[in-house]
Amino acid sequence: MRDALLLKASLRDMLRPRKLLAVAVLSVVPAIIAVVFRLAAETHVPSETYAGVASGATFGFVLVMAAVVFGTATVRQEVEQKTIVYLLTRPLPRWRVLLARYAAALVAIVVTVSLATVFLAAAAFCPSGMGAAPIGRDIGVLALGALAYGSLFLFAATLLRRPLIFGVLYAFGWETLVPQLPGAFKALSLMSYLRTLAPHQVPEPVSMELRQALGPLATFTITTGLAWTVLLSVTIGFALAAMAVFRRREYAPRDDD
Amino acid sequence: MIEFEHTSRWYGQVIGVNDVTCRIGPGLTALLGPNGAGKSTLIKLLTGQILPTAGRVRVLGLAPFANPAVMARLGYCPDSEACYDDQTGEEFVSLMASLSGLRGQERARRVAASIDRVGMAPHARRRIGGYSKGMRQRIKIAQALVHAPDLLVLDEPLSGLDPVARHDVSELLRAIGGEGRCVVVSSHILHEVEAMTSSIVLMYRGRLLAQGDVSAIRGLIDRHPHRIVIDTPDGRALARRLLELPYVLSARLNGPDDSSLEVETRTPDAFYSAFPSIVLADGFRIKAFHSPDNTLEAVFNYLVGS
Repeated sequence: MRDALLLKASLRDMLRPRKLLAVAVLSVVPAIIAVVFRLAAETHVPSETYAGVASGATFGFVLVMAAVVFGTATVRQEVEQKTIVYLLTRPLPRWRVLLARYAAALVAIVVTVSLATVFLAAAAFCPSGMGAAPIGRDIGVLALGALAYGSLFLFAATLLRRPLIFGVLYAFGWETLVPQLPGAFKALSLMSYLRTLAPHQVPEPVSMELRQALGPLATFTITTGLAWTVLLSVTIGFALAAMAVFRRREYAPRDDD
Repeated sequence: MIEFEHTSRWYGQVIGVNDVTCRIGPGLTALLGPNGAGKSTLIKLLTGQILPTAGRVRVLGLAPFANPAVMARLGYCPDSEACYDDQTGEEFVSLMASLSGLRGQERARRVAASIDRVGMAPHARRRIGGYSKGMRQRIKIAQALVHAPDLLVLDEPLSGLDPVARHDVSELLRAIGGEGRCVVVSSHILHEVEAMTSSIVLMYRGRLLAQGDVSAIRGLIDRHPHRIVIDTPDGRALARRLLELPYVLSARLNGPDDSSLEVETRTPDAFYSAFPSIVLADGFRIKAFHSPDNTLEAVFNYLVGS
C-alpha cells in the first residue's frame, strides 16, 4: 500500500509539465528524422528507414537520453528541491523509497521509448501500414534497455552530486564511441547488447579489410544469451549497489545555521 | 528521549557541532542560537538525516540515522519552504500520513484533524504552489503532527508567520508539549520562543553554551549583576533605602525627573523577597517594575559575552 502510494507520488513528481515536455520532444525525434529521410531520399524503402532511424535515434539517442533524464531524477530531483527530507524521515526503509522512485523512472522511460517507436513506425511506413515494423520486439528490448540504463543512472544518482553531467558524458561519449570501436571493445557498451537483441540492418561501422587485419579481435560476437545475461546482471547489480549506497549516504542539504 | 554524548559533526574543515553532550526530555524545549550556531546540524543529527563524525546520538534509545523505528515516532518540520508544489495541502499531508502507516478512515480522520489544528482547513484543497510562506509553514507542521508522534522536531517553525499565526502556532506547540510529548523547536529569534517555553538549549559556534531553565541559567551568571528597573516618582528616596541592603551593588536614576531607578544585585531572589516589605513600610509609590535581565536576549548576550 505504502509502496503503491509512493510510486504514484513519484510518478506524479517525475511527470511534471517540464518532464512531460521532455517526453514529448524525445518521442517525436525519430519520427521527424524519418520524415526528413523520406523527403530527402530518391527511393524510399520503409523498412530501411525504420531500421536506420530506430538503431541510431530510438536506441542510440531517445532511450539513453530518457534514461539519463529520468534515471538521475530519481534521487537528485528530490535533493535539489529539498523534499527528500520528507521521504527520509518517514518509517520506511530507504531501499523501498529508492525502489519506488526507480519504478516510476522506468515507467517514464518506457512510455517515452514506446511512443518514439510507434511514431517512428508511423512516419516510416504510412500510408502502407505499420505491420512490417518490428514494434513489439523493439519496445520489449527498449524496456530491457530502460531497466539496465535506468539502474546505471540510478546508481550514479545515489553516488554523485551531479549525475546529469555523468549521464550526458556517458550517453554521448562512451555509448557513442565504444560501439564503433572494432572487436571486443563493443562488449563495454550496453548498447551493443541491446542491438544484439534487436538487430536492425544498418551498415557495419568496421570495414571488412579492417576486420581481417584485426584477426581474432574482430571476430568477437555477442550472443543472445550473453546479451540477456549482461543486461540483467547490470540491472540487478547497479540496482543493488544503488540501494546499498542510498541506505548509508546522507542527502540532507548542507545549509547549516 | 534525546541524548547527545560528546557528539561532533564536521563538514570537511567546517565544524557543525563540536563535542555536544546533553539530554532533552518531554515537554517543549527551545534550541536557540544565532545563525551558524549549529542548531540545524543538531536537528539533522537527531532526525537521523546525518551521522555524527564523533560521539553518539540516541533518540528514544535508538540510533536515529535511517532508522524506521525512530521515524515511526518522530514528526519533523524542516526549515526549508520546499514542498511538493503540485499537490494540494490535503494530498501532501495524506501522503505523509500514508507513508507513516496510517490507513483508511483513521488516516482521513487524522489528516483532517491535523490540518484543522494548524488552521489550514479552508485552504487544504488548494495547490501548495499557490500558498503563502505562512501557509506553507502551517501545512508543514500539519504533516509533522499527522501521525501523533512522541517526538516533534520543528526547525524555525515560526518563520514567515504573521503575528496571529505565530501566536496560534506557539499555543499549539505549547499544548503539544503539555501533553507530555517531547517538542524541540529551533529558533534564532529569542523573543519568539520566550513566550513558548523557559526550557532552552543554547548553541553558539557549534558548541553547547547552556541548557536548562532560562531563569536558572540566568542565576548561574553571577559575574554579571542582575538589573531591576523600577519606575517611581520617589526614585532618590528609594535608591537611598535600597543601597542599605547588603546585596544591592548600585542604584542609578534615569529618565526625566529621575523617574526610573535601575538597581543592580547579585542575589535577585533576596532582593525580590525584601522589596515588597520595604515599599509598604516606607510608602514608596511604584508605577512599574521589571527586570531586563530576565529575557532570553539578556541571557544570550551574557553567555556569549557581547
